[in-house]
Amino acid sequence: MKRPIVLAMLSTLSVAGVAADLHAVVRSDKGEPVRDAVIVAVPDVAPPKPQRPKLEQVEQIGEEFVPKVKAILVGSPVSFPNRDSVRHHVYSFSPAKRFDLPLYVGTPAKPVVFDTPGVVVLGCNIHDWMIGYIYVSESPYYATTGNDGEALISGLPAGDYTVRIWHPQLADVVENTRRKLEANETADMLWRVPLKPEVRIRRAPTSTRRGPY
Amino acid sequence: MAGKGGKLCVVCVSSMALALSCTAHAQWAPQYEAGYLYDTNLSRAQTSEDQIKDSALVARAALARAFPIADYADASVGLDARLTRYTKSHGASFVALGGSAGVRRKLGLGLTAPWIALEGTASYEDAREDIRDGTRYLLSATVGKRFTPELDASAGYAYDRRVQREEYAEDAVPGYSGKPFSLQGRSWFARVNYALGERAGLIGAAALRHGDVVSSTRRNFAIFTGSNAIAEDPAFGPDFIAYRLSGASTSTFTGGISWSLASRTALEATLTKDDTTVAGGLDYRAVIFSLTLIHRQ
Repeated sequence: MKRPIVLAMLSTLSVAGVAADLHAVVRSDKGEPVRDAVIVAVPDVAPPKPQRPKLEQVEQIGEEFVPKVKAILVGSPVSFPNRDSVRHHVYSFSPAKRFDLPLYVGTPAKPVVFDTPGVVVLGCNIHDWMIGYIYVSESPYYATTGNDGEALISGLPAGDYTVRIWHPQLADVVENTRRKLEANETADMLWRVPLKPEVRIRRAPTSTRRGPY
Repeated sequence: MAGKGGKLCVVCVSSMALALSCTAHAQWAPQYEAGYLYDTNLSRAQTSEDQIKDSALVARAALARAFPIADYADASVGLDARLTRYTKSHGASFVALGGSAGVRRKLGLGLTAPWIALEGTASYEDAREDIRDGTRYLLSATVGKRFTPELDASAGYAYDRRVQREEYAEDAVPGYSGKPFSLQGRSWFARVNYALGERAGLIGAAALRHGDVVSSTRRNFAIFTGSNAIAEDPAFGPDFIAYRLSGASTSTFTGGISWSLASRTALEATLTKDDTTVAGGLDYRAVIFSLTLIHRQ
């Protein structure tokens, strides 16, 4: 009975004491910082202490999804609180998760569980311009770049990883990178990625003037 | 008229204030518009000497609220206040207060799912010249679809009716009505929007209307014999007469560009060409340029 407890303690010490960090920098091919890029580090060996999925949130604020790109661990439930005064109808046709939340205000009672890794594109059936993305990661080691185009994944156990990048506007498939992380190391990784222009639906209001007869 | 118009102005201003105050309340969506228009033939006259070219300042405040009635359908109601002030033809300037109701249903889920809508509007117009006062009604059925993120289109059928409030003078001309501004017509219409990016968008619209039109000219025997209602129309001058012509066909083509200034604010410039054909060769044409600043909250 004592053996598993000791092993668990050693495992915890090992992760806490010798964990590595991965500092990702993503730039466009023009050298500009790229926001909302998802960086995922997939270990060759399963993590010693699998993380449990937690409740995540994608809000609707000002008739936009916030955040626009959300990375989550596979199996995570996600709630979609509507902070606007108008109703939204959130849906996705993506193979990784098909669902729809018919017209609602406030927070739907039941979160949606994302149980298949992949990219889920979100839309609103009322406001065509609303588009958002959920990146469902099979690995617990992921992060999303901020305005500075940088992201930090911390607490990675030492070992070999396959590191991948995803962004909604990636023009080409970017090959995965193999990376060995040493204990206490902060590994810097830089990507220069070609981005295609973002195709967004205009949300500008239109005039309702009618001609006189 | 001044007192009556003043009261309506107060109502319009109150409506705009109501729209502003309702922004804090759930579900109400106010929209404001302000702009300029230039009309090459405001009088809708055939001959160049009778064609009144004029510009106007326009303002509008509208308030709409949608109520879900099914998963993919909603009903809506709205209030609308408008002001159009012409630079020279003051008598044609008017304020209007109206309401609308409609239902809209999306036939499926997703960006490219088509939709259908039925809408009815009614508005009371109070012009500087009492003869132009009246109520407008419009019923329309529209189908629409987004084909790509850039392209969406809609088309439909509409019935319009305008009811002049006061008769000019009963039996002023035997056999002729004194309500030339009482009109009705039916239209087919289509509209296309194409986004050139997130900021710019092209607008194209076309309509074909068949029904009554009103043409204001100086005394004209040909128009008189082709008309069925007449009244003096001092909006364009003391010698102008408004004639109602029935069985007219009007083709309207609009092209324009919309430029987003912010996510809820846009500047829209359109050029509209109206060609009206009436039996007996009583044809006329008008070109209208408009520049409108639109803000939706």
